[in-house]
Amino acid sequence: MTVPGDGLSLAPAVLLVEDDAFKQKELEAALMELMPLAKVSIGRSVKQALALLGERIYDLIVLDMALPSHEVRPTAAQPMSQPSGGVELLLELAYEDRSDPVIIVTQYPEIEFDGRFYALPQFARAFGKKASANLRGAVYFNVLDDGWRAELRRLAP
Amino acid sequence: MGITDPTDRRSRTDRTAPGARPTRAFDPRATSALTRIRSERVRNLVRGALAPDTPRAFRTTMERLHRECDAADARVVAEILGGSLLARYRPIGEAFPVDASSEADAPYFESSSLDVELEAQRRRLAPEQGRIVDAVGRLAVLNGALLGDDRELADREIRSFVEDFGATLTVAWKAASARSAGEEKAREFGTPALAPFLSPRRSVLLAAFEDTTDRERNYLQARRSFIGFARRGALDPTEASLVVDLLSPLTTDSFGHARRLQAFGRRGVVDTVAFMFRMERMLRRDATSADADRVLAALPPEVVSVWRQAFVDLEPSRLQDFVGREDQFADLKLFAHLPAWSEYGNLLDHRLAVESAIGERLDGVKPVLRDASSFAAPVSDAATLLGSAPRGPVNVEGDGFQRTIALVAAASGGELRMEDGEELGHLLDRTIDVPHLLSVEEIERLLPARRPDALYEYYRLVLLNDADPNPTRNHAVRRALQRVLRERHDGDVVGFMRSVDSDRGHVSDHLYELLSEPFLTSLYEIYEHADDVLEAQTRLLEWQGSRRNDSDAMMRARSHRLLIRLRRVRGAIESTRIYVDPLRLFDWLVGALSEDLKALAPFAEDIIADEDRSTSLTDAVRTAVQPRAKLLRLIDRAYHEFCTNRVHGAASFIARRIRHGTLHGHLSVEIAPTVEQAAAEFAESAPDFSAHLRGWMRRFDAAVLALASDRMHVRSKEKPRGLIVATIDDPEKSLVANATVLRIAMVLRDTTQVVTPIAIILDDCWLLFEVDLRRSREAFEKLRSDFVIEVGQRFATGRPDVDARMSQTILELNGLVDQRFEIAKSWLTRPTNFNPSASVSLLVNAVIDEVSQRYPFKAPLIDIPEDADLDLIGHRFHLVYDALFVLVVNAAKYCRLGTRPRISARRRDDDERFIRLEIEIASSIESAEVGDRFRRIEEEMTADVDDAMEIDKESGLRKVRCIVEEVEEVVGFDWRRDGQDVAFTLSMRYLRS
Repeated sequence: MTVPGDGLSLAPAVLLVEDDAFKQKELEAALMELMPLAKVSIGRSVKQALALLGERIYDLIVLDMALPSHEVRPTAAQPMSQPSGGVELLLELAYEDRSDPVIIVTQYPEIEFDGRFYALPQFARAFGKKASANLRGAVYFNVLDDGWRAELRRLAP
Repeated sequence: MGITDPTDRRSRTDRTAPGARPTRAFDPRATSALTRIRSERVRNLVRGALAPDTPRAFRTTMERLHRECDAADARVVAEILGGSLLARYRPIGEAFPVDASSEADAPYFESSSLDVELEAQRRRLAPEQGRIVDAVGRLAVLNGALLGDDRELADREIRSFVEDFGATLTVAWKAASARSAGEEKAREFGTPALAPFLSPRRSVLLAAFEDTTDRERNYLQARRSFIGFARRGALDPTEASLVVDLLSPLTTDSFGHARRLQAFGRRGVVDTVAFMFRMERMLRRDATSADADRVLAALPPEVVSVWRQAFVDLEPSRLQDFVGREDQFADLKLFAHLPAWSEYGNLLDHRLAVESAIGERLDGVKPVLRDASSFAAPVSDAATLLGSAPRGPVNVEGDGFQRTIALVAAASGGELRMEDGEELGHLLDRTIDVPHLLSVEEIERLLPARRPDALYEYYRLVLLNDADPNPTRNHAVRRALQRVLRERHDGDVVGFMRSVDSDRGHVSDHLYELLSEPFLTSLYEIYEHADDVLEAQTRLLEWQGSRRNDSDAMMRARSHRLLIRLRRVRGAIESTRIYVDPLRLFDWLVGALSEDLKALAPFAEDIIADEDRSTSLTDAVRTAVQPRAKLLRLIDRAYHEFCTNRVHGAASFIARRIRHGTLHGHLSVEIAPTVEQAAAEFAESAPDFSAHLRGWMRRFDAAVLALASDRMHVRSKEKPRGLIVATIDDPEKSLVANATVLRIAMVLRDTTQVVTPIAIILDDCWLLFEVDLRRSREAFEKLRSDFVIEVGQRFATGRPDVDARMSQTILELNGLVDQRFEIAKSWLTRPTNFNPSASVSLLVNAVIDEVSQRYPFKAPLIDIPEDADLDLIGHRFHLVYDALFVLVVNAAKYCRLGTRPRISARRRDDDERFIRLEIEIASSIESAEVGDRFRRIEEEMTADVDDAMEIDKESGLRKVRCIVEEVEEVVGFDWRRDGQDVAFTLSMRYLRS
């Protein structure tokens, strides 16, 4: 179940899906520069991100690809590593016919989808052939190179 | 047609030297006979054949002759060429061959005419009429013995038939049919008939029949696999013709019958004759009676007469008594066996009717041209389909397969009227392989979306996804299943399975296969945590174990339960950097390989005896037919999965190390500040050196990224420089692969339980992987050596203090990089936590934890010194847990009030090879019960243990004794009494690693 964004509020709703603490911090800082008033919700697993997705419509979703299936908990079973866990969120958006804008930010130059690897610039097209989501693009995150910030800025709505 | 090939080196008669040009000379008799040939073209071709310029020209001439001769000319041509001195090439087999080899290398004429081939056979069969008549009679006796279930007589008949008439496919297929029929496979039955097709290698012609009638295999998959070999040109043309005739007999072009007759002509005459009668029936059925008459005319008249008397129609129920009819798909089972029983015209007609309706779909041919309505008139509602299934030409018991044909026929119409999802479930339960017989478009037409009905949508989407899987469909299936679980079963997947299984057992089997751990994991609406997924999977395994008496599922469930318990007792989070998830990979392997491994069990002896040591997998036919190669292929699949599975395989580890940037971070990002600091330090005092360092860092960073993106991958078309070669078809892995084959075959010889062979495969995957890891470590070393900072005197400033600091900086930076590489290389080694493992104290504590939840008892005194607190490793350590559990339960139940049981472990008598460990569980017994207890213990410790695992009426000590026998590492189980005290000792022996 989703509810529309708070149309009256000026604060854009952003969903940041990222399990790596360092990268999350960097992305949050970059997002605050871009959208100083944004209210950022963080999902650290596929399960958590899907739950957040069900709560509302977002003005922007920043999506990592490799995610654990569920949260890591002490003494609990190991969650399953999902190298393309982010795709699950894209499929969910497509299934629900939603148009929340999505930017993928990944530390890997390729994304595996439907048994094939796609270079980041090609992924949106490949995904679009199978399902429909408002995928604005994919950004390569390299901590030694600030290029990703400019790319994020360019793709942000 | 006895035809001439002057270059044929296999010729059995006189010949010119190989390669020598044949003499240009006409036999005068041939010249006169030439005038009897009506067609001038044929006459010229014969002239060309008698005096060929080159071998190639001869071959071309013969090809044209085979194609263009009509019936009348064929006879004359055969006379001329057959009588010619040059008639050395005879592409026909011995009449009664002792072995199964065919004249496979002889030229095979793709477009030979039926007349030519019939003439060749007429001339070949006529002199053998007497023996063929005899063989037909003996074949009828053999059939009678088999169908009358007189195995002893049948065995004798087979033996004498082979002695008298040689190796024939006709009898070999019958023997194979008998072997796979009924409840138990009669492993040794019919060996004389089968042996020629098993030695020196298993023949594809036998394998195709055995695999399509093997109850452990899916008929459709086996058929498609062999038809695929034939159509892709992986078999020689003769074998391809015979395989297609065996599995998919309806021919599609005008040369098909002739090609098959040509192929059968290279076999013994019994097979040729059996095929000719089959062909005659097929031609008559296709309303080509003239052709059918010509086939009969080519057969010796007495053979025709005897055959007709010997093989009248056979009541299908007699054959079904023979092959078995265990479930609603008895009609499919019969159908799979029919190729071995084609002598009976009514059964052949039935088979051809099915083939005509859905043969192309069974072969996986697209687009489908034939219409299934020839077998079953299309219907438009599910209720009619669920009623009585179409019968076909004969009345066959079992209706699942024939109902499937009716459903396929219905797909030619529009929507199938249906009550609801329940009814669709029933229909799927009573049909088979529907998504592989219908296209996505047909399924969508037959079953349009019906959003309000969750169950209907779920079944519909499963069909679509099975027909043509893709991520969107898979996601839709999961959404639909979650809805069904929520709306109808309170989120309980086992409850759903129970409900389906109660009246749709066939569907529940399919769903059970679908509900793997990755699939369950992705039911995010249902399972809050990873624990919930594991619990659901464990319950599913337990349910499967009890429902199907599936001991493998039970054992896996016990492993899961124990790991859940151990995790709780461990009390610490496990590393997030586990390499390969052993439990998950093990589960995947069980799911993916069990069926094929079980099917190989009957061939275990053959595999052990096989002296071949090649691990090449390039020949697809060989790996589908030869038992040893099949096992290699399975090991290869396992290894491929071990390497490539992106969830629980080594690739997952690589992905986490690489994709999450760990390699880049560790090697480059984390040293960058130090390098930058050094560069800054020398910015003024040695600016060139400073610039060099910055440049080095940039180049090094790019090289590390390239290593990650190009090389730290499983090798593939997309990643040709990948360092992990996910196959055993690798010279450096052949030693391990051969050892694995032998170890598995030896286990399969004794049992069809697959848990142990799969554990062996998993263990050995690490040995295989060591080859790939070594390559990867070498690549790291190469990168390291490429980026040693060596500047010599290039940047010397002439100022001793600056130059000294520069040298020191270079030394430190190189040391730092070395250190980083050493750590990175250590990632590429076998982890210690690969196998499921637990220390002795952990197991003991977990047992106490579980027992204390069931029986109130005083916490035992535990005495496990550090040297005895070994890690127990391996897939069967949960059996040690079970043994401890029994002993601690006994101690809890019978311990004297106020006393505490004592559990101790000691290392004893270690030697160079083994570590020996004893675990003792001791307790005191109430004085009033001492006599009775000791008597019972004595009884159980000496009683028969055959049924101990099934019954649990007593204390369970007999079960412990069974475990001792089952677990190699447990070498002893003893007890002793001392006054009111009793002590049980488990003795274990572990190979030093």
